[in-house]
Amino acid sequence: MEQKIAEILAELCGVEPEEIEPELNLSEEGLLDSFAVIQLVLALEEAFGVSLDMASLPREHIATPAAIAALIREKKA
Amino acid sequence: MYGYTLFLFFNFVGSSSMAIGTGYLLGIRVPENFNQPFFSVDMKDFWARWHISLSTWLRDYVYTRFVMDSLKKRRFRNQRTASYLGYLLTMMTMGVWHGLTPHYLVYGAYHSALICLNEALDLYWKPFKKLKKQGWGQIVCVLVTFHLFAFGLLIFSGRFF
Repeated sequence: MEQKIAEILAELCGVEPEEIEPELNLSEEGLLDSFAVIQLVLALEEAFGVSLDMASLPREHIATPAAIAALIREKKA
Repeated sequence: MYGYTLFLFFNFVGSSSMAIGTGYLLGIRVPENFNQPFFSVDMKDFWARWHISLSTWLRDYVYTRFVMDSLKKRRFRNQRTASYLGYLLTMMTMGVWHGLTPHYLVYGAYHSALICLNEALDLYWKPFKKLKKQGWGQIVCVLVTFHLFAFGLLIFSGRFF
């Protein structure tokens, strides 16, 4: 799962997957703007078959790759 | 233009601080409404730091909903078209939120154009991201952003219309 999330983020942020570290703060580093966040949510929904309601999704749940992985695990449980 | 910009900033920060303080007295944690906006390096950065309560609401309930729906329904051949129209819709809503007189609508349209230009620079002018991050480039970006915003407030003041 972490590898797939890193691949999605790398594509959106225009970096190599190896550069995506688990605790990398995506918005503070300027890697994800509002549009990229929407693309990320759609990509996660498609890749993991989960439904993420952006209206009730606090930004801190998608702030780092580790937080995203925890969110996906929670949604799949 | 500069006097009006500083007047609005300090007036608004002061009233926001009073609201935050009142909230604390009542046991309610009210988030900050400003985060050093005049250190912003571009207009997208600026709107993440100025009148945060309004800009966050607009981001979540106008921009995100419009763009998300447009992408899911594949309304546009180019996904970025949804983003540009989303910014237009968001900033025009921001203008209307202040009032229906022409200068507020022009103010909204002006910021729509700036945000779209900002997005285009991020996408198509590669040195821009590096320029914003450090040194003299960053200082120039901060000054340009401040002046673009201050000119926007001149429109906002209604002196042109």
